[in-house]
Amino acid sequence: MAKALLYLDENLASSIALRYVDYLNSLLEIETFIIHVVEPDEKEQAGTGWVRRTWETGMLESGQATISRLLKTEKVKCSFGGPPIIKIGDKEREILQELRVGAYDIFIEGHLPISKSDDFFELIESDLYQNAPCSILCVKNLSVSKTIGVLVGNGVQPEPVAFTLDKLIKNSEMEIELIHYSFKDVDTLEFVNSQEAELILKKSKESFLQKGLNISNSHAVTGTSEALGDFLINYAFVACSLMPSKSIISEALAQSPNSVLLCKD
Amino acid sequence: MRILGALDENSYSFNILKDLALLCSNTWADITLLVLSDKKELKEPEKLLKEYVQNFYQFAGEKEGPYKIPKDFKLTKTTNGELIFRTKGIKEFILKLIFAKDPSKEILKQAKELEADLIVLGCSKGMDCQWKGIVGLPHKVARDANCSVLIIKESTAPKQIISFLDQSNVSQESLELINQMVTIHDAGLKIVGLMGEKGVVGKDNVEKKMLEILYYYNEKGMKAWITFIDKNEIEEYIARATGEGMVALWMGKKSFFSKIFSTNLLIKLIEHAKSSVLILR
Repeated sequence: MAKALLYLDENLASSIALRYVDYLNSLLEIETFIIHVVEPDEKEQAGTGWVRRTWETGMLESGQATISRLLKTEKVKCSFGGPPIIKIGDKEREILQELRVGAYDIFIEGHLPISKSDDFFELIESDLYQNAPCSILCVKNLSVSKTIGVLVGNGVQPEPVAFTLDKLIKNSEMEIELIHYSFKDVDTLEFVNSQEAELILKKSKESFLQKGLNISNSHAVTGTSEALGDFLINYAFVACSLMPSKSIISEALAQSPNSVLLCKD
Repeated sequence: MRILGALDENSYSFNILKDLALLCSNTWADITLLVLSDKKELKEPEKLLKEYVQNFYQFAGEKEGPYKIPKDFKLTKTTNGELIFRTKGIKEFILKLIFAKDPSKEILKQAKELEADLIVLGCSKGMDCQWKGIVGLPHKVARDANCSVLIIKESTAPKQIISFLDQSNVSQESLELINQMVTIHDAGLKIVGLMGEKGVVGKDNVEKKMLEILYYYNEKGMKAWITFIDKNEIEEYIARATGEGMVALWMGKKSFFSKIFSTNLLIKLIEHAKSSVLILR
């Protein structure tokens, strides 16, 4: 069973992430823990001793109330591994610490899909994403599907994806499809027969087979990143290895309204 | 709900009958088919009207549908030469042939008199959207109507409905229209919100409405997604979206779109769209 840490706040992105985790729970064996970080203003952080303890208790209760309200509103069916973990401090630092201490397999958070790619690049270049000790599922939408799309080629490594999916989807009904993408300035996405793509797809398939994961289908496609983004919406989520910065693949992932699993091994 | 279908004798009008009939029978709307023509040009008007009625009736579900239309219907001629047929099943069906010098004015007048909720009309395909012999008719109707307007291009069915949402004041009827478009074309729905300097335009209420719509479609097992665009990139995005599928735009009084959407931009949207355009009011 995979151990997941889900970051929640009282906003649209978290509502979608919570619902999506609820949906994934019906397909996969995941033990999910909720984390919420209360980020106080610097001015608020005053006092020592009893004053400080009283202030901290108030902040924790406020964080607890935020998550209770969200859970009550969303009425999800899934159960969680324990009570919500409420922290006070810098969001990225607190999440990173919990991920290191708790030995999680996956970190999940909501991120609103925005047409500006820069937002997504900032996210994947953040300390949290680059330094997290596990894979990250960035939930953008509620995609109802039992098929996962895995991007290969263009410097994206299949091994971290196979490693993550082995923990996440083994013994489930979910299927995996491999997608090799190359850029071409055309209106609609085209399926191509390329030897180079075939070779990469074949090698990638072997990485998954070594983990006992079957590949149900493979595609080699070419087109713009927007066209690929729209093609990817048919999947439950799109998986690939975490990229250090901007690339042809991260551009497509930024354009896609679908959720993205950024894998590490 | 009352729908006004505005038609002339050309193929782009004939081609909207399927969508129009499906929409009417799915929503159980009262329907008025308004056929506009220049008196001199129209030969055998009865034959044309019968063809329209038979096609509408076929797609509207014939006996199972809400309209009771006899196989041999008789047209009544009014004193000013107009032809009218009216019948009432569960819902009302009116067919009118009007000889008008200014068809766009006549469509708007009839829509107002009938208190129509939606005007549906077709137009020529390609990088233009016209009625034969009348410059800019679809644009005028879209711009000046008090109700929603659906312009169907003589083109392929949309694979995606791209619906821009920037206000929470959205009527159940307009949501139902979007729902019908998704169902009729078996299309996906992309709900697009606007992102400003201070976050989502319309903030909490719009976010809540987006979630409601997303959950609604999700629970029905239909493909729906939300996405946000920077409000400064709206023109660029809309130009791109017209190539992706049918664009649905709320242009109510509280809508940010109605404030920033100039007549020129609306005309551009209608002309550049490869599929159809739905203006919701």
